[in-house]
Amino acid sequence: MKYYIFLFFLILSWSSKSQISTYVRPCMSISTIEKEGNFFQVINNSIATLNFKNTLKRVNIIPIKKPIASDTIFSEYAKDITSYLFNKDSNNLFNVRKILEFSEYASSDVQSFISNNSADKDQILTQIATEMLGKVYILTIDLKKVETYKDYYDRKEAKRKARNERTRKLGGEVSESNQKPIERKLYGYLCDFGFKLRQVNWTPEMLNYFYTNCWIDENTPESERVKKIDNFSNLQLSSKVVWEELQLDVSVGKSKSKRNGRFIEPTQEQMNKILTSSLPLGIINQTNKSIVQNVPEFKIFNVLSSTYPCKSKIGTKEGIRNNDRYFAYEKIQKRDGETLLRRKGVLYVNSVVNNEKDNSLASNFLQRGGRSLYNGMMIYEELDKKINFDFNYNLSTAPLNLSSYSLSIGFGPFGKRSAAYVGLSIGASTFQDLNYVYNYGGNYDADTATRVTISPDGYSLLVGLEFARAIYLTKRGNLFLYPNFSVNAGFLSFSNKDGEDQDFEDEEYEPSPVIVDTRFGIGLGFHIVPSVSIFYKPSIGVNIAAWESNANDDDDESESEFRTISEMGEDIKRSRFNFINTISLRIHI
Amino acid sequence: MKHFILPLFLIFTFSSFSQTRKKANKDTRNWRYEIEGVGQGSMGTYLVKSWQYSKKPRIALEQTKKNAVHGIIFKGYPSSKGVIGQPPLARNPILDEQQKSFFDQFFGKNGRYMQFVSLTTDGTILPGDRIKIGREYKVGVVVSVQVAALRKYLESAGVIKGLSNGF
Repeated sequence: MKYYIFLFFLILSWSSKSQISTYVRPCMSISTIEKEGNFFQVINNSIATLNFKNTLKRVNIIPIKKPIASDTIFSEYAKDITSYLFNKDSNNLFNVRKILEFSEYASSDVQSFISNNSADKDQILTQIATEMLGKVYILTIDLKKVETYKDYYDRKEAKRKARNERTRKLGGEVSESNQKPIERKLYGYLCDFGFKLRQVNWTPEMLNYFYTNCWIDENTPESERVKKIDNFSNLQLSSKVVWEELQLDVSVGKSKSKRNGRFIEPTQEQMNKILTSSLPLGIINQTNKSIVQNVPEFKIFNVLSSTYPCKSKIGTKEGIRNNDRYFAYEKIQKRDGETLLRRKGVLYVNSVVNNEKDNSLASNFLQRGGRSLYNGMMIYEELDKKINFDFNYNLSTAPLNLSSYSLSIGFGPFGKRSAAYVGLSIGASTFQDLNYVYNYGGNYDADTATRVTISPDGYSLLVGLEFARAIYLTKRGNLFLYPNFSVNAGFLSFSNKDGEDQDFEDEEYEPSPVIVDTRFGIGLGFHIVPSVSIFYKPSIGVNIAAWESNANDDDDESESEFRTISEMGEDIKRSRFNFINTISLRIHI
Repeated sequence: MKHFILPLFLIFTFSSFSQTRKKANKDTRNWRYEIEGVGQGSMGTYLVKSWQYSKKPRIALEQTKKNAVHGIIFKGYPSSKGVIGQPPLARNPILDEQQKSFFDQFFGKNGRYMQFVSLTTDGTILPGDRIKIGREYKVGVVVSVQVAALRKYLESAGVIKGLSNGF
């Protein structure tokens, strides 16, 4: 009788399903396309037998994991899943224990509270089960190519030899780097694969048909059972592809280990472990990343249970990780009754709580931009790629600030509380009438050198590496300090050696200096919108080293000479200590 | 001068909180709330969602509890989504006016209403149960009200008649 009540509620709650519910864990079965070949079969079997609970944390894994033919009719597969979810036994009897177990595990603390205080404890779990049935997926992994690193290096080596042969035939000379054989650093496997994610279409009509014509339990009369078994075996469950990736790759390699002063290749046992464990895990990990980023049903959402400190009752059970990004939304009802969600702030996970056994525990979030948040606002997972593009404009006019305009490509945030960033920049600037001193003919012997003073125009190109942290000053995280340190190299190029002594006009020596500086500064940043922030970054730059070489010298083997800063002319000497004012616009993706 | 800053700040903060509570109390007196059933409560309890209206975005959880008890006594709730509705405990529509002093005390500061209601662990709101409508906020919090005990208390206080009095 209980099952009838369950199914009655199942259908009822489907039809009255609220527009916004809690996050319900999807159910997923993993299958692989059958392929000939030893590697394929080993990996497929490993995927079928390995436990991916730690990788696929936010789904209920349905342990029907088997290699299938590429032309498999997914209705049959979906029926296997249905049999699993409704706990079909050897006597063809269904029950709801399994799906209620899944529901109980997936329930939030409010749902547990309602369930525990209800006369019918299963009612709320039934609602969760209903939503769960709408989120049943079949993941099919299609291995396309598996090869060892040895084969990979052999292939590269053969290509190198063929290219060199071709060059020689054409009368060319093979460069020194191309003469060296390909270095074999790693031992392991590389794999190309694709996947398809299908969603089983459980419509209310289908559910009603299943309940009325296929469901068998202890109360089903014997006379109806044969027909219902027959109905279930003829049941056609449709599915649709909701996401697919045609070309992904994963590689797992191990380098030689050092033992007793000797480098030793990985053992066969270690290689087998890579093939049967690390590689399948890598495949599932890549697949999971793609699904979580692209399929909305796999994105976590919840409510803020408290603010400042911002907390939400999600954690390891949902597979959230430190520094994952969430957007906070407020639900707004317009005058015509229509509701919409308006974004109010950006949050990053600061500490993840283990809520496997206690769903009342909450993870900590830090707001980084937006308006004041309040208890009850919704948060949606919006993972970012953690890539930053900074467009920098240097306000200082000193010639050796190395760049006026620069672009930095950086990574971050990472780390706890204060977000850490690292960035690589390239930039350019021009200068005029630079007072520069060099030794005639590249003669670096201080006693015999003829020193020449020139006032060239030119440009400098900058390459730099920056390390920084964002320290948030306000609870909403709109305003932040940005202490930063960078090392930069400026490559100066002279376009006009105006003012050069006439005696040296036909000089073939073209000084090409490189200035290295370090910068320390504390910037002030402001989040304009979640993905855009603006900085003012004052910093002190110290020129720490300089080299000079001959730009006209085509000989690769000519060496640059170290020069002291003070030897390079007044402007460079003067700009040894710089005050650099930079304004930056950051776009975060 | 600096000696005055801290007391002034405390007075300002206290009066601000006090104003918020007074406003919420006023909304309750004006029946500015809604309740709906969310499940068949276990023996002697009703499981309801208490919707509170407020101009302030922060939720006064104590007010939510008060609204739920007030709603069970005076409003009841209709059937919805498989949950059977319940009539109010008070059958007399002007009971609150007749027993004004009793209810002022019952719903007053540290009133006895608190004995009959419990929140989820910390009053967590379900997704979508916090809605901004115009300049107001409508917030729903799930609470459990011990109706059997509440009824018994009101009967013993002579505020409502016992079920057996009708026969």
